[in-house]
Amino acid sequence: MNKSGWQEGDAPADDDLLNCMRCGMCLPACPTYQITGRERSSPRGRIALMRAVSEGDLSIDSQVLSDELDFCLGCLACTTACPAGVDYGSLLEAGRDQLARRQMAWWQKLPFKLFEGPGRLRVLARLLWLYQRSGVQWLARSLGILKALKLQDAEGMLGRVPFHSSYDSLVGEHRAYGSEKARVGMLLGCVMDVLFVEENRATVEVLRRNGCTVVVPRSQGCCGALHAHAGQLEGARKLASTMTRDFAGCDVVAVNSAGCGACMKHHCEGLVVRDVHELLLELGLTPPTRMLPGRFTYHDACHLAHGQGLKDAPRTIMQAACSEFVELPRADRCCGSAGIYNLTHPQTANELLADKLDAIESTGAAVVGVANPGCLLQIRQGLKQRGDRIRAEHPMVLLARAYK
Amino acid sequence: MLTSTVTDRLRDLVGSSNLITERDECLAYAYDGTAMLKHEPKAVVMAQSTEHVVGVLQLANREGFKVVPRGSGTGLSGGAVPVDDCVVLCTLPMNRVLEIDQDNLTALVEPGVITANLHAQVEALDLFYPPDPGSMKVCTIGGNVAENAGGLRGLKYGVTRDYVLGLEVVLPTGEVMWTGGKNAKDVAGYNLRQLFVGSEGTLGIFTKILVRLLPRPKARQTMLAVYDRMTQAAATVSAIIAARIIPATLEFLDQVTLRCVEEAAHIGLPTDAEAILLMETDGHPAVVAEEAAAMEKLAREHGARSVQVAATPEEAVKLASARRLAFPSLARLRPTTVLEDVSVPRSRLVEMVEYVQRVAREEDLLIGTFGHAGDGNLHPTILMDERNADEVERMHRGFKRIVQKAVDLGGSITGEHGVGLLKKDFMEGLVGPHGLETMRRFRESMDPRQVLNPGKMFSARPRCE
Repeated sequence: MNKSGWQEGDAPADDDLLNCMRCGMCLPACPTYQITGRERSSPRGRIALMRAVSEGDLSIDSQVLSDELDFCLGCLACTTACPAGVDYGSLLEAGRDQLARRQMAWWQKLPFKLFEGPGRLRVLARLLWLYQRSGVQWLARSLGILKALKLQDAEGMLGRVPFHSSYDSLVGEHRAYGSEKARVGMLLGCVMDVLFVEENRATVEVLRRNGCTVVVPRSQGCCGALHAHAGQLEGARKLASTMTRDFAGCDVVAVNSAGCGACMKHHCEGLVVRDVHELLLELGLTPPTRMLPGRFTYHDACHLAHGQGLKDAPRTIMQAACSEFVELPRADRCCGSAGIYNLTHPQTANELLADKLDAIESTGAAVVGVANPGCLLQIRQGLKQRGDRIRAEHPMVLLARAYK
Repeated sequence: MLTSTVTDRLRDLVGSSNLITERDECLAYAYDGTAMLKHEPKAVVMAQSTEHVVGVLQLANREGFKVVPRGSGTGLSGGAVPVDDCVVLCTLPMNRVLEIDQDNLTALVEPGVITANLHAQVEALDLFYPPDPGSMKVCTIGGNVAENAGGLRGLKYGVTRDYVLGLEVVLPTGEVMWTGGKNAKDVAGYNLRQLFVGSEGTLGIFTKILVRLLPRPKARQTMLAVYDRMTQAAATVSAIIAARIIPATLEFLDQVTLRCVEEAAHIGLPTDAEAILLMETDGHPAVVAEEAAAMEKLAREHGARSVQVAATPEEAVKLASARRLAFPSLARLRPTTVLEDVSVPRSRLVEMVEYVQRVAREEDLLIGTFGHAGDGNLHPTILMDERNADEVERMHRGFKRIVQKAVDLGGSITGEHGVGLLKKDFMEGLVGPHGLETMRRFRESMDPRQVLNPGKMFSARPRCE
């Protein structure tokens, strides 16, 4: 065996690479392979390329390797399909970390700085609020500046940025209604915090109704999921360790964002992390006081279904709160959001989004439940563009309504 | 030779979007599903049409490069692993179901159709295509025909061979031939189409495949029997056959395997049991009920500790999951998974399983055995680490002993995975010198320039190497 082509530090582990027995069961699950039909765009192909680097058969600077690690959605559908239990998520993160260290320029790392200090994103959100309300947005749109900068999709996805983040109103302790079953730390998230204020409030409300005293620490930052996803493992670990410190003293940390939950379960050692749906069922769900009228369906966020293996829990909760629940065809296929994939690979993301919207429309549902901020932005934007009247809502918002 | 001038000709033939010559991307076609086999091809062609296949084979004959056919690359004997100076010819893009003929009960498909997709399409019409290899969600009909793939329903319904009615084949020399058809009866000439089934990509490349369909069975019953002794499970199998019942499925898990399944999935299997049998009967509801009752009774009479009968389709899925999880649960144990495939007459099954256990002890190997007890096809699965040279040597020795034992018991070196690269050295021992010579003569006359998948199934004559 030749010398490994990886640099020192985090690298795809040989044990994980060898675990792939090349049976191909991941192929039909992989959205990028389904699009290109090329082995290189499949999990099995990507693992073969990484293994070739490990065995000294392929240069770490291979364009094919870097293109394919970049093209991967990181949806982890392959890990659900894999009979051998290959930890593809870790392989991808480590492979991307290797390439990022060689390829990323300093200015490309700047956006990640936004997530590294608590409060930085909230400042940006205020600026965006100002941008949307001051007339600058109108000016930028009408002058075609956004189009010229290729930012119109990203900008349109934002929706209306609220003035107050959920942090402003939720920091502190919220006592359980009735007797306390658990003392639960709650992650506000970074994107969730500034763009999904209603969702965070609803989650606190639901937890309190289920006997949880909710603690929202003042000093919580970002969980590091975006870093890990982009191959910034050192940054991710730093953020994860901060998280561990911030939530020390809580029985359990509840997370309502699929991506954050998957990342924290993986990287935050010493913390008991639960997705909020999972936690509610473990505690024994307080039955809703009414059933929401109309037909509902549910989209599996990749990092809930594949990253955390949670498919039944959110459905059980939707079914408890909704008078009619129907399955979404191919519910666990990625919607194309995939972190910031919809910004970096708009064409592929839009293709996946179109399939997702078609599926949602085919159910005849009025509301689709979505438990991840990225997917919520992506699917809401898609529905809006099509002029659909279907709404995408976080199951916690639906459940909170069913408690009213 | 596959020189750059020749790849330019290939590009003219199939278009640059269907030709891969970049070395780094070719690495992703260096393997199939077989453990520890790897060889880089020089180029890959994604064939979109019969014309592409013809063009590549004609060029190969003129220029002397080799062609290795490939579908999804899930094969387990190295049939799609590239050879020196070769182009991998991938028929995956040819994936249309061309016709489902409900009068004649046939389907005409292109080779790249995924097996499970064909199942879904015909089952929507209340029809049935029985072959169900373990990789059916991934593998292609073209690959199934090339390898004569089996599955869990072999005992009652046979294997791929029993469903191939006709083939459009591009011969190794580039001519297009049609053989067979929709006739239920046809005795004109040699049965060429059956020669192509299981030819492992050595005699031709299929571009259209006509398969036979059956009416979909109306009912099904599933049972799981647990045994303290493996011999009791084997006795049950014999008793069922003696009672003139042909179950749709009779699957077997040994103790190593069922312990792995239980450890991985916690579905309540007793880990001190020596064997379990998954039994299924299908067909007319009245017959299914009668056969299921008889099978349950026979299992108990022959010492089953317990027999669970599924009350609902959901329960049936749960019972079947013990068998479905066998391979995944084993594969998780160690880095390298060597999946064996031997076949013995049903009456010799216990001897074979006991011998595998002996080999595991003597060679200090971890081997779990599961398989198709009904048709005598077993999958002893060797779990090891290919980085450990000593373990690799013991694996090779164990592998050889198991295959040889199957031959000694009047069985075969492969039941459904094919010979490929993995077992070509065992071919002469199985078919004898005249058998091998006949195969060689045949292959030489079909492929005089040794263009198609050379070195697979058996080596060419020594003088030609």
